[in-house]
Amino acid sequence: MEIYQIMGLIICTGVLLGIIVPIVATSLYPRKENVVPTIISSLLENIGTLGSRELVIEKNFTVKPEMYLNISIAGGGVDVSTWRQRYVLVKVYKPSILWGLSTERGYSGNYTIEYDDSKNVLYISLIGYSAEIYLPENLGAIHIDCSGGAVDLSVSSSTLNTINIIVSGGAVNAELEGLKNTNVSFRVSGGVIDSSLKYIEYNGLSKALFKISGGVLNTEIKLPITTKVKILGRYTGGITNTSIDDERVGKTYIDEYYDESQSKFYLEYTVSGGIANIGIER
Amino acid sequence: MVHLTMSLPTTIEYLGLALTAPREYMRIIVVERRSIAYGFAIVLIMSIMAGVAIGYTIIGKILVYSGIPWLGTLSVIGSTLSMIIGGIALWFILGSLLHLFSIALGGKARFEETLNAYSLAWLPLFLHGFASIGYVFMDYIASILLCLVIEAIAFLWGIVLVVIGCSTIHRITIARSLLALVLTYIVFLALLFSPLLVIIL
Repeated sequence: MEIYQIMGLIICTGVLLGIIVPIVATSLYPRKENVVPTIISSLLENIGTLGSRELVIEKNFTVKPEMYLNISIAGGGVDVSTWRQRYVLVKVYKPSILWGLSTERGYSGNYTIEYDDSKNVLYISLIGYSAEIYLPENLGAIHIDCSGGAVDLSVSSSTLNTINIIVSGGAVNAELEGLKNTNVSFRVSGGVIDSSLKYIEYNGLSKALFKISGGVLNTEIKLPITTKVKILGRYTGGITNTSIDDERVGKTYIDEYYDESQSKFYLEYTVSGGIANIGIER
Repeated sequence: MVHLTMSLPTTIEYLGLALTAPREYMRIIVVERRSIAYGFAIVLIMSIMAGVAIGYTIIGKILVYSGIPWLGTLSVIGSTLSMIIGGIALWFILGSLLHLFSIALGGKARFEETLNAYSLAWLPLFLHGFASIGYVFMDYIASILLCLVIEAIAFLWGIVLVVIGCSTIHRITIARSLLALVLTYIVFLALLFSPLLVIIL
């Protein structure tokens, strides 16, 4: 068979599949979401550490409790996780092979690692490099500004009081556990944030503010069963889905006895473009 | 020694030829003086397939998430139909503009031939057919992302085919053919957004 005959058969197969598969599948299976768990998480899990790389620098810092981590990334990848040690360990890698080519000469990325002892702030800036950061569990705040590349954040901390993630490009995968009275702020104008926020029993108010003007925000929030929820949403564009315990809710929602409750969770979101999928479970 | 030969319907062979050798395919279309119905059939079939593949899966999922249960299946069929009608309208409008710009840049082909050449832009949409398996089983965010990737590949592939096809039938250079297509898109977008600009201003 000639190549054009094979191509003709491929086109016809594609057309038949495109008509038959959706109709048969939607009649066999009712339209239900998450038939297969999201592939975004699996795509993002190791994205920052893909490819061959060589260690450039390894630093460790003895930090005070409730440290503030400030990461700025515009290319490359960073893998952030907590460990049981009381110090911070940072490893920075340079890609030794990029797109199949050696980076021995003319590699234009750069990185900065600074710890300000007086303010207890660790600044990390990456362009084109990848890094592994190991943090003590008694963190105070995390700020991530991602305009390109990938961030894989896996943190377990009950002392975190602020998490601020701004994404204008690239992707952030954030898995945060042990949260209590934490103020969470996500702003997406491009790229992706795929996150999982797990709270443990707490008293008082915990806030989450999401602003999406482009890109994708996919967030699963797991709250203690006793926590009462209030939601205030605004959307002027894009696609938004907000659910509590798998039940879809509208722009506003408030649990009965929210005001009297000792444990409150307040979610405010604004969507003017892109996709926002916010799920709350108790 | 026995040689096994396989004879395929001419239409299937032509479709394959359009993707693998668009210049040769367009020469055949011109020599055989194929009518506008040939290009129309390509646009119609591909629009139906893409409409069903995207409408029944992704748009269906978005509607489920958007919480508009009263629209149900009717809206899925409606969105599929609108993609078909929109596809045909786009083919005619953009094909007409492409013909005007090609003639202005020294082209010599007939209007029907330009429309037949522009129908090649719809051929790479067959990729949605294979991706429809993914659209069905992935969650809606992943399926939208996959659909956008497929759409981008099909669009770029389609541009390559149309530029080669248009250059062949109009007997103009590839650069002029590409310029005619770029002008087509610019004028179309300007016409599309001018009412909005008037409202804003």
